[in-house]
Amino acid sequence: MKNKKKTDLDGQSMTVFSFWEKIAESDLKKMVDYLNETNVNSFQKQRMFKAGLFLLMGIPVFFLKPMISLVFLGLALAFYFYEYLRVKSKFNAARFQKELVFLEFSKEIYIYLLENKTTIYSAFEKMKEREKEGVLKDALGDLLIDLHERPDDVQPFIDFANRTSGSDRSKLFMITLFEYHQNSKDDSIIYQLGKMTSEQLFLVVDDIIEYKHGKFMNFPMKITMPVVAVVLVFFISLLVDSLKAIQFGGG
Amino acid sequence: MQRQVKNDYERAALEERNRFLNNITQMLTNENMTLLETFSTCTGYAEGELKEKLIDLRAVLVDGTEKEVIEAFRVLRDFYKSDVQFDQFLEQLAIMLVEGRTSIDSLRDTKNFHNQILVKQEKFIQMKKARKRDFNTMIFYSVAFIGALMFSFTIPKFIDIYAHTMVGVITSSLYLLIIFGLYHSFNKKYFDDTITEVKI
Repeated sequence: MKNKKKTDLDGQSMTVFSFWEKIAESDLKKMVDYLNETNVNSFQKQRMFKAGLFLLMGIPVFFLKPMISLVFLGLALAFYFYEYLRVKSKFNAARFQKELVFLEFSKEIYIYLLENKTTIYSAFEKMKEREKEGVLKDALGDLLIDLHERPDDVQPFIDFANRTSGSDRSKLFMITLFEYHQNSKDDSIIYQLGKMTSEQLFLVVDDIIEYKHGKFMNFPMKITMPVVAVVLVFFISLLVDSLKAIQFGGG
Repeated sequence: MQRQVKNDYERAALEERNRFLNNITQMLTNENMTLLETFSTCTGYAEGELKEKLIDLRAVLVDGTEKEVIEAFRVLRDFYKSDVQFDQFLEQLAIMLVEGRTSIDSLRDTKNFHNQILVKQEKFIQMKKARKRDFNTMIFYSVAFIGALMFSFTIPKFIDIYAHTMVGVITSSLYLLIIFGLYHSFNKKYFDDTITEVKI
């Protein structure tokens, strides 16, 4: 859903955020847009609805035992927050996957250019034939069409970089490829591109190691929390027990 | 266990490929040897699965047409597609074999990158081992803590007021379930050695 554009008194246009966007976390919109599955508003509505279900379940309990309905309130809040975490981890993984898709592309195009010593167009075409169905194949198809229509334009290359990876490195790679295609048939550019690909791979590999290693970091806390819960329950039952003892003893 | 064996196998295969790359690049610095000779010698040094593949490839190299050579290399490259550097190296080797010997600088670069990937992976595995130690220690501490709790008010009392009540049973089984879940997800992450791909 697009934000409504309104004009204020000075005639300047300003963006009005919908209610759903206002209550969302600040980086949620960016992540949901990136994942491209739904938009922020419907995501937030679904999230609220699911959390609301827990609250609904809590209502009948509230009349029986008011204290236990607090548990349902806690569950609803926990679920609401959990959905955010889920999107976040999905976003992180998706970012790496996109980066890797581009790396795969750059690796292969390098090999094709070495192999054929022909035009970039035929290299793209050969690669499209061999590629499996997916984002990369579709993007390649569009790039080929654009190349056909505007052979002297750099824009199709940049569009392709945005679509597959979106990082600055990928844009640089595509622009270099365009320069090679336009100006020279110097093989050293191709070797340089191969080197660049490997360097990019290293940066991504470092990121991946950090990402995968980071996932281990919260295990100690995850192990401690249930222990705390068990201890709490134990002490509460101890308290209840001694209260009962006082009642029966003192009565 | 099964996953440990698979990981070890893949690790050994990667090291074998790395050894092959280093061997062949080293031997190519000797200008007097032909490419085919170098390749044959390195094939002799290789071991395991890689050796079988290389012997097949050598047979094609010795008496195959140019097309067959390219095709054989393509088959091998498809097989090792996940190892990006090795794939690139084979491609360059194929070009050299078909079009004649050229500068080996790019081969050397590729080899260096492959070495570095190997080092990085080793570092990652060591990091994970440290995390596994942390995990086991934490589990041990938490169990010890609960044990201390059980003995602190004498066992019969613990059984009476906690273990044999409804709340106690539910809490304990939930606790066990959560710990099992954590253990499972930890192992799933622990046995993921690849540093060149991410699964959602």
